[in-house]
Amino acid sequence: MITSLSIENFRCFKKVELNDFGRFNLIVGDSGSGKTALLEAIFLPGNGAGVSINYRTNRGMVAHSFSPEKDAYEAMFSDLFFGFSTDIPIEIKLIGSYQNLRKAKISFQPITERPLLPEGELKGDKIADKLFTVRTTDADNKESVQQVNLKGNFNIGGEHKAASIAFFTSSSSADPRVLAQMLSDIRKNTADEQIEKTMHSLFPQISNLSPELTGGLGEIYCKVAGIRKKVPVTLVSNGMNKVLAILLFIATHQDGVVMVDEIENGIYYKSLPKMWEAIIQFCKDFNVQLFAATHSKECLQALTPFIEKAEKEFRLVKMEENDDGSHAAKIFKGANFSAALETGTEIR
Amino acid sequence: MPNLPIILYEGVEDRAFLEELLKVLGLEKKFDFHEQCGGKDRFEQILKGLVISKHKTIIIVADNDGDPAEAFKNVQRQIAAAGFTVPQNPRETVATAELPPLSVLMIPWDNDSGCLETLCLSAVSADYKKQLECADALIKCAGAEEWDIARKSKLRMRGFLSAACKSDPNTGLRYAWNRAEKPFPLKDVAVYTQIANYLKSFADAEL
Repeated sequence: MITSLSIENFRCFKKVELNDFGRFNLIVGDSGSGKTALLEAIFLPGNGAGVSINYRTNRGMVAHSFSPEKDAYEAMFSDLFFGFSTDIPIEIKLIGSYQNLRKAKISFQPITERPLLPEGELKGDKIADKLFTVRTTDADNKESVQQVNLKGNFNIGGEHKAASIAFFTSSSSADPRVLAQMLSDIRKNTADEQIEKTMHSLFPQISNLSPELTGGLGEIYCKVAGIRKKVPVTLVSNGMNKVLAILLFIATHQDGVVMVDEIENGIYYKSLPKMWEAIIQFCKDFNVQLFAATHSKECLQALTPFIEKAEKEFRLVKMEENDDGSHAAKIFKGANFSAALETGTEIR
Repeated sequence: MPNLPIILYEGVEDRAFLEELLKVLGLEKKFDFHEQCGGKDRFEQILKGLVISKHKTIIIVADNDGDPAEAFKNVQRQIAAAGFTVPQNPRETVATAELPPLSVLMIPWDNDSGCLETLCLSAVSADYKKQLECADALIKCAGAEEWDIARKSKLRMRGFLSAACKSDPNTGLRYAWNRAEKPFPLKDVAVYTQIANYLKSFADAEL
């Protein structure tokens, strides 16, 4: 479990400290209030590698081609820094259980070896003189350093163990091959039976989930009532596939953290209460902490009975904007979260 | 809507009265009303939820009924249970760190016994004095003279509205201000001045 988080100079956050996360953390706030950035911040110290590119891709941004030109090189990473100020390092710290005691520091480090550039290319102060560097530290103070060279290649070194943190972003569907691998992995310890049973209960028209190879590539197939041939789950419904993906992420990140951005996207509103029931049960069964962002009132309302039953396990994280344009977040206890939902108080 | 003072109230009649009074004062856009109030014991739950919202001020409007001290204590208990600083007197505005300031208006007024019906019936339009006398007679013939002031006021209001609102004798206080008969004018009526000034002080604070 992650209990606390501090962020400095990352994305829209100048300085934020959040304490007392629960097992289930729902993140709300206006568009552009920093919900996704908060999830990115939590993900970063546990992983780090490829953050610069992955975060651009996850947000549907253009991944520019790398150039040794200083401005172009820095532009690839500058949006990670508060106010695009690359002079001030980003520092993120997670506090919690052993595997979640982690730190990340992102900065531009001086280049020790100058690249050889063809004659006639950039010269002098137009050439990047610092490399984008992500330094992550785990609970044992073991460190990994990732640098992106001027051609966009990653140099990663160190002993830092990756954390069990999964990040399901809003703009990207889960890779079918990854999901098939996850289902295949959990079949070995029969947790697939729980997935199968839960998915069938949520969506009675599908059954017999299995990872299948076609041309060497894996994908999850299922039986559909009325169709004789098994079909990929993605073909039946994106919403079903999303719920399946979330459950698989949970089942394969035992004792870890699963984060889902815009959790309600693609899910039919009548399925939301059962979706929550399944996610909550899976999180308990696999001892997983959940961070989920949402804009949806229906999605939050569907959660009401579950919060009322276990107020101490829930938190509402509300994103806000400070007067100086930086963003902040506040954590509210389950009792306040539950009361707000019950009394129809607008909390988004 | 955040950033406006939000009013919590006991019943829809209280809301209708306050909305009408704010309209008369030209302040209807300066206040927000909570949508799910209901009863004198619901303030705690609503306040717990409002901890999350960003209202500028929270104003609780409650009835004194037959025992003003006990009625105010009941509101104080709920405020404390929700984690807010507790005002020691009606109309006192108190601050709590990281929460909106809060104030309590007791109806008819600070330590006066009664409820909204008591207040409104004390300022009936001169055109309806006769109907008011009929309502008083109803109290007597119904044997309700010994009822507590709040219940008696409600019975009196029931009888009065049926007699005064010919357009719909079944109308309730909630709709009284929409009826053609207009039995409770609010503009420049001395009885409402204190409440109007109290509300205005919050609206002025927003300017």
